[in-house]
Amino acid sequence: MESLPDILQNLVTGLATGSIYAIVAVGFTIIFSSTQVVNFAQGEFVMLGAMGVYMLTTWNWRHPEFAGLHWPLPVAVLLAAMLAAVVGLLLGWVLMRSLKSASAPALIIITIGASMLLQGVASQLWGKDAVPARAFTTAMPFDAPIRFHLPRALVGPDAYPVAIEWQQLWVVALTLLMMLGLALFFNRTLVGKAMRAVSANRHGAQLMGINVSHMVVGAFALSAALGAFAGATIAPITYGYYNMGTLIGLKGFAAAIVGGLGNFSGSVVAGLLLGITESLAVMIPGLSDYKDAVAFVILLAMLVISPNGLPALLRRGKEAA
Amino acid sequence: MKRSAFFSSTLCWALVGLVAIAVTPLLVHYDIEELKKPLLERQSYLLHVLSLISIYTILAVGLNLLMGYAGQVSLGHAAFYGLGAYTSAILTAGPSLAQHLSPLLALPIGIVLTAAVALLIGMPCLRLRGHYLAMATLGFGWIVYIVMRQWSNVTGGISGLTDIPKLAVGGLVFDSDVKWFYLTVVSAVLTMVLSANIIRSRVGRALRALHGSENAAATLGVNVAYYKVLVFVIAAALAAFAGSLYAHKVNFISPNSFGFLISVELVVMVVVGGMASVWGAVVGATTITLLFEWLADLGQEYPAFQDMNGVAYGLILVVVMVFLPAGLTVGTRDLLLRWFRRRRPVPVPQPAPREVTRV
Repeated sequence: MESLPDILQNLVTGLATGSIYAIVAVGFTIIFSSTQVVNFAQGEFVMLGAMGVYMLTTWNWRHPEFAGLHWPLPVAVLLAAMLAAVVGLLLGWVLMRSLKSASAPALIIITIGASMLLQGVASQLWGKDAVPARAFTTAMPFDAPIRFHLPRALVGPDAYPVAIEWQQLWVVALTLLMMLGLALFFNRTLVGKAMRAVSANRHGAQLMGINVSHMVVGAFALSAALGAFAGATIAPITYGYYNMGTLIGLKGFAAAIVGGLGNFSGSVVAGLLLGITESLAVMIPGLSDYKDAVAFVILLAMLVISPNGLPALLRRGKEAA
Repeated sequence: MKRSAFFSSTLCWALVGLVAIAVTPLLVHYDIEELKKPLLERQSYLLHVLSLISIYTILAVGLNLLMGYAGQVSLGHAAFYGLGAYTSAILTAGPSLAQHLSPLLALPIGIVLTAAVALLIGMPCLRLRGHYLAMATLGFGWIVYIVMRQWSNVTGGISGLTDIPKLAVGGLVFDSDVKWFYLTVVSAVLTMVLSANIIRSRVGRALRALHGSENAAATLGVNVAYYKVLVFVIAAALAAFAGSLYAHKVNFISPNSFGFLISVELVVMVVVGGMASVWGAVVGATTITLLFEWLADLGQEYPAFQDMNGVAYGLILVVVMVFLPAGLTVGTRDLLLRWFRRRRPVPVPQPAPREVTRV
């Protein structure tokens, strides 16, 4: 039996990684609902965010005598997000052109090709080693994790404290902020509503005077910028490397499906659940080697039980009750 | 359909193919002196590449049945390939077994096992419309890959399994590149014949019908789910067969030959070749295998190019899919047709005299 602090500690870690899966899942959802394309380059946007921030804040261009850029972090994060948005824009434009002529597998291959291209360019530019990105807050009170002890009566006298890294707090807080911003964007702004209109009914939206191709390309840029933000916030914890996006992207994809593909709040909840399950599953003896498989097992199980995801399952349960 | 004309063209192709197959090793060994020597490196490499192409052809032809005719995508097809290879390897050379089977027994066991797994995955996912199979196979592919990497006392972990015995049928041991060349090419041709027969049978017609419209097919009495599952299981079984051949050919397997990238590569072969055509799958398998070998070759010649493989491959994928979305065979044909039409004024089609058909 694992001790309570262990469980709590893993819960904290799971919440942070789950937040990233949630953002990536939302990115998938944005693109999928406007184009019906599953974008396998989604993880690469996360990588671009992480490596972009690393390049602008710490990287010394592989020359020891060069001191590096050391730009302020908010500027670096914004620029990295913009870089990813531009890449997303290009990808969206390319896909937009092929949307009518190409079959579904051909579109998938375009996104996979783009992902390989981006990974290749990243490994050329920044090398293949994992690099630590700068934490968001490094000054005095933030340099050490918050530790708190659970009541001794509960966990025994020599239990160690639960530690929460400041960066983990940043990840969760920024994720919440981004989700709030997205909700506002899609419900309150004209552009957001137009995007929703396009995903609800393409032709209808076009008839109402919405420029569909602008919205589709915009959806790619938005989704890319989101992914880059996620990458910039998680990189100080997981380190950044050129192919970090593959697994993060695919697990986010799993979350998007578990959340019911095309369902925003479903993706967020599924992403968080996936992260937490994954880090709790590690505690089961013998399972720690198979941590990366957890998300895919959940994906398979979900497809067998309820192919339209968690929301459909809950609805079914409600109807049955 | 004029059956006689069709058969003669098939026969023609088969003959051309057989002659080409029989002659290739001779061409490779065109020098008599060369024949006396042990196989030169370059020659055995050529035969090896041709064998690889044949193995990939088996995989692509199977996947093409699923993608081109049932309209479903498998994004984890390398997992079935890997299941076949690993079943063969574990049963014939696994460190966890005290007693090993002969390759000839392990091969069918791998195929049956893989087909059973495919049945389990396919049944729930193919009942529904949409690309659920793609998502399920994607997940399944990763699970298989991770298990291959982590279950080290059985699968050998990242370093994989070595000393897999050569395939032997009776007294005939497949121990040279030439023998493997013949074996793999004959297997590939048999797979193509099998696939062509499936396409032209009741199953194939049902598949094409449901690809066109599932509702219409169901109305006409086609058991949509049954046929989709059937073709998925066939594709998986063919992949397992290819995997088993691969394991016994190279005698060494590791998880990286069966990862997500290989699954993608297989889908690419089918799409680049052109879906819904047996020859398209062959063209795709050949092009992509050669492209990979060529990129690897370039990398060895120019060290600066070594890490550019991914960039080049990704770029080629995007460009081909954007400009020839229907694949190389169909796409090139269409391009040529358009080109010729532009140069020659198109004659105004006259209504053909109505044929009197006897009912």
